[in-house]
Amino acid sequence: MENKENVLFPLSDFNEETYGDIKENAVENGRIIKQAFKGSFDIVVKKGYCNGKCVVFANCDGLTNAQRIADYAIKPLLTFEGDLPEENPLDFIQDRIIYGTEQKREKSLDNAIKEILRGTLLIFVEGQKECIVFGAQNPPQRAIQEPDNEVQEFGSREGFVENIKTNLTLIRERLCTTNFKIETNEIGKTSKTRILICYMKDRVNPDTLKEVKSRLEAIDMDTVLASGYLRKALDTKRKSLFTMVGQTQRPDTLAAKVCEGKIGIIVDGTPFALIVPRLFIENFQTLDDYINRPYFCTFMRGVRLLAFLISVFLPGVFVAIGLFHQEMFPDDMLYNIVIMESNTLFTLTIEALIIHFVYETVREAGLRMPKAIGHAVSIVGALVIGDAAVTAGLIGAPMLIIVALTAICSLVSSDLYQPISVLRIIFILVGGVSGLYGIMIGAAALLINLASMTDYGVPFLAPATPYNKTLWRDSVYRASMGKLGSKIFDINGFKRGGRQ
Amino acid sequence: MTKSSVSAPQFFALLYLSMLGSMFMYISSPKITIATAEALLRPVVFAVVSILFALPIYFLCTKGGLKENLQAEKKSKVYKGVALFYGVVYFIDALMTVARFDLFASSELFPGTEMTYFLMGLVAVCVALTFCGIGALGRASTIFTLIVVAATAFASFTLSKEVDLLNFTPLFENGVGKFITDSLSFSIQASEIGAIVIFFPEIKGNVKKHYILWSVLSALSFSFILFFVIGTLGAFADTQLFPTYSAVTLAQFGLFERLDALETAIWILCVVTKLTLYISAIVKCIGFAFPRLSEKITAISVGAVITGFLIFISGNINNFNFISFTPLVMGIYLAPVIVLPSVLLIYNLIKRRKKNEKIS
Amino acid sequence: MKKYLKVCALLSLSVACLLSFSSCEKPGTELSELMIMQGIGIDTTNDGFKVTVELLNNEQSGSPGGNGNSENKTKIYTAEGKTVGEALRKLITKSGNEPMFAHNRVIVIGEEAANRNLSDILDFFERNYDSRASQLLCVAKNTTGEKVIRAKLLTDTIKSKILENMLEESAKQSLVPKVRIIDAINYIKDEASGLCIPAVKIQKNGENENFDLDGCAIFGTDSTFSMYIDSQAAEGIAILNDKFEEGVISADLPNGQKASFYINKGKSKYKIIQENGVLHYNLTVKLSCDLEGVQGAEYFNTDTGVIEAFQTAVGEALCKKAENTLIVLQGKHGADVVRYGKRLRLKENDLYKNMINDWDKIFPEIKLTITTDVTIRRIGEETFHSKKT
Repeated sequence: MENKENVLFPLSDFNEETYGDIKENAVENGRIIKQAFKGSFDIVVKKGYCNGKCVVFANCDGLTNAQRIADYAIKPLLTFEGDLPEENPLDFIQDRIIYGTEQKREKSLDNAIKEILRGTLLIFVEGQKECIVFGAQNPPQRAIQEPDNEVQEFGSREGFVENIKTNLTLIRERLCTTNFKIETNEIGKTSKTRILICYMKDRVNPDTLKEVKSRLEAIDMDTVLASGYLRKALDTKRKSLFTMVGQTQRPDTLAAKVCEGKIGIIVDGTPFALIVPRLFIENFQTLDDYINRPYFCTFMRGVRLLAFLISVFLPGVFVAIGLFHQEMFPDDMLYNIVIMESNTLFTLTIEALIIHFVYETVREAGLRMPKAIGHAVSIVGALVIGDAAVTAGLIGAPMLIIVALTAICSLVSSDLYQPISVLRIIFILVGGVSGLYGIMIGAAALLINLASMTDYGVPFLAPATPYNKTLWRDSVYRASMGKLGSKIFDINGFKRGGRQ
Repeated sequence: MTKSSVSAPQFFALLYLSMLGSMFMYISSPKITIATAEALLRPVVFAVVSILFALPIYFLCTKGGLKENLQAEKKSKVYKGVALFYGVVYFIDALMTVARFDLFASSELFPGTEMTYFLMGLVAVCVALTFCGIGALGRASTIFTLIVVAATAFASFTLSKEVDLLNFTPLFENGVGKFITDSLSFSIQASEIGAIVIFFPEIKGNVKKHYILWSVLSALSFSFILFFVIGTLGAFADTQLFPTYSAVTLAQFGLFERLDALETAIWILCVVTKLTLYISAIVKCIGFAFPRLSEKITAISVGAVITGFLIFISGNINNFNFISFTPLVMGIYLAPVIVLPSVLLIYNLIKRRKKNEKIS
Repeated sequence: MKKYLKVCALLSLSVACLLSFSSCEKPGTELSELMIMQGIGIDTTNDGFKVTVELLNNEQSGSPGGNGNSENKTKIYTAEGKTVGEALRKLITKSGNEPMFAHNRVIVIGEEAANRNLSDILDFFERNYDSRASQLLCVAKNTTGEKVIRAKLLTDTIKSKILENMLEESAKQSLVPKVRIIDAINYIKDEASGLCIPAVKIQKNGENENFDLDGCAIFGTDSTFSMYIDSQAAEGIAILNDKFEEGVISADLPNGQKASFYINKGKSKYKIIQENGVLHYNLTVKLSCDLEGVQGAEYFNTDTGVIEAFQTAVGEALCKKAENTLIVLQGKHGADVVRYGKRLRLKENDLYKNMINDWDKIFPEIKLTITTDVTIRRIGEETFHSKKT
């Protein structure tokens, strides 16, 4: 597949020019940079003199902090009144004149140009074949806010932002240990997106880490604009609706997962971090579970699991019972349902499909439309689905109740929304064609498919199957913190003592 | 690695489900009365027979060095022949399972509806599931087992007030001889045991311990199910084609007066597991005999042949007689459980002796 | 190769789908296209059977709870056929819908039909997938099944539901036995047992009619009707069948007063012995009951004495009831509807084997001894001292 993409958009077209090493002529360097960006107005190249020696500054206006550059680099350099030493003047400048912790030297002009795009200031000194890279990044940044789609009742209110450094800081704050390691990489031929692979050195499985790194390195993409772009490479089981790559917008969640021995991947420019491997059961766990009392946590996890099952199977089961197994309805219920359904136009299957289509459309519209017209859509949705469709005899009231319940249940585990909405339609069709038996065959196939998912040596359905006693203590049920011990959950339990 | 390895408890959960499937679709035969008290003791004989008859397999796996030989003897004609034979036996077994399910489905699930397409779908799903590997099937079967056991326990709970002890007959009313022959014919339905030989290299863990546990638990479950079938139905059980199903139709829970559709739907898990196990076994055997054949093509061809067979037999009740044709049932039990393992065992022992003679 | 496989799989799947959709017009049955049976009355015609069924009226307009709905809740259709199955299938010609037996509550066997062999009537229900083995049976006394199903009750209700409730609750109170299809078949299959099915008759009440449970119909070992027994005798069947767990019993006290008791727990056990060629069935009954009402107030002086007198009286009343019933059953047209043969088979199989052929002669000779152990649990809201002598 990748090859095909390459044919459609040959990457060679995007190959950049090379400019070689830094020249001794500082002004020439400045000219080359201007030329490289073809006169983009945000690239600023400024010439000055430090005690008679020509110095050229270059930076990208929007990405750097102008005040900082002026106060700590340009002003001290241009107002310096002593003599620059003949040997190693750059060392002297770095050590004595300019102020700033983030400084380095660069010999290649190509790399120097890249550094400009990362928000640094380049200082070229006449006669030197190196330049100083002075860190003064100040990219546009959103304030740290509570994530919208991962709300916790009692957890922290901080969420990731688009800036990779801020995100890293948010995790660092939570894990004050040198065991927390970060490795940086760049992906994307054009975008050159920075990614961070973070893990706990003492808890991560070295094989898993190696596997993740090699998969990421093997990625051959032009641009990486969101963390989701990397999923395809991290997920091996492609013939499944479910994924073993988790996603979070919360630094506390990522910190917790990293402590469980998993690997976090933060991508620059997106507030969503990836976590591998992710187990099925994690879709029903939240950070609040560890703050609430164990009994309540166990209860809530049960509710979430039940909600998942309801949202996948209920419409299909209702259609199946209504068409094939009417004897299952209790006597009086059958009487009521028969009368309500006898006035509708379509068969139960069609009814269920219509109303799910309407629901999904309204949901998608609600997600994409301008917020200002949100009310109008919700009113239309409520009226159309709620009242008019029943009155007009398009659908029966029982089906409406079922769909409403299903819709609410499907929002409980928001991470599973995608598989749920597709599976639901599949089970409606299967139930409408072959009753409960078809649904059960489908469910068996689904479960075996889930059981066959093993990425990074960890089975997706663990710790339920294969059963692992230690890890089971924090799965559907949660033992008290005392029992869980200091290491709450260790994903590598399967590799060390667990059964495969 | 995980795709092809299965832990011993998972593998025996698989066999247990498969056995429960046979129990749920137990067919009344005019020769064997169900509604007697000694029917509850037949599973005991089943457990004993299963353990005794598994001795050839046990010796093959331990003293016969099955695991090493399966690697070493990849080109041996004897091994290939036995593998092919296993494939054929399990193919017949798969046909019987599908036929029995066809009869069950068309008599109880959707009477009056053409079931062939439904069954074709079932076979297609099972073929697709064999691609997931025995490991996935094993892992899933532990969850299936929980679901099926919970559903059976629930049905038994709802039936408990319907049990009438007067429905039982005196023990050994027709003599101990009849009891033993009935019990033996009851016991030879577990031809799945032979699958241990086929999947032995993949099974991790203590096979012996779990095998004994499996036979005891299966026997207990059979007795448990039979207790409720006889206790609730009495002589009615012998008038019904599928007595276990008929018992479940009596189960009521509060407002819900018919739970049989739900129960039978859950039983289908057993059928899916059983059929997938058989197809996986056939694919593995044929793969051993003809290593060049692609597994997928084999599986699809097996599925296609089973489907064709279904279309052929589905229409006429007489075609189903072979399910309870005793010589056939006995053959497909004895071949994979006793005959074929014994052949391999003897072959291995002879070969080892020859080797030792050469060395000395 | 992979591509080829995928294409093959897709093709075969789509062909299968196409075939399945084209061969059967539409999977499943819509709820509005069902003939949901509630009760079936079975009568005989010259060469076959006539069935009368009560169906849910599933073509009503409006919501079930809504007012202003003048349509009837049920509809009644009749059809004839050579077998019960044929007659029931022919109902399609009347309603156009597919019959659904799963929700059928009762089967009313008309008096004439009762004279036929019961197996002929029940075979269809035994064989049919849809029909529940737990449907209740009753016999229309002095009338036909059709008349029972068509009875003009005062309100528009599901008649079969009323009938079902009557049969269920009366069985719970040990007034009549509860007979489901499965019970009937088990009795028929047992070579020694007869069968006892509750009898229902129609009572005229001005223009309207009411159902009334009036004793039971007794079927002999040959599955044919032999006689009716009255309600008094029917009440003893539960005791003899060791199913007496709840119900009312009234007792004559030594001073001539009467008291009634509500039995809330009962347990019974049989012992069988053979003496001088005669079978003795010893029944031990353990009861716990509440005092429901007493006529007169003379017993309200000494507490323990009163309770003991009550206990003895309940025991005696119970014995009398059971013995009377057994006498009726052992009479000329009687049958072993209390499974004495089966009990013997379980306890003394050899004896049973010897006797089974002459069971019709042996059953009338059986002697019954009842031992009771009665506990008075509560005496109601009144104390013994509330009334003055």
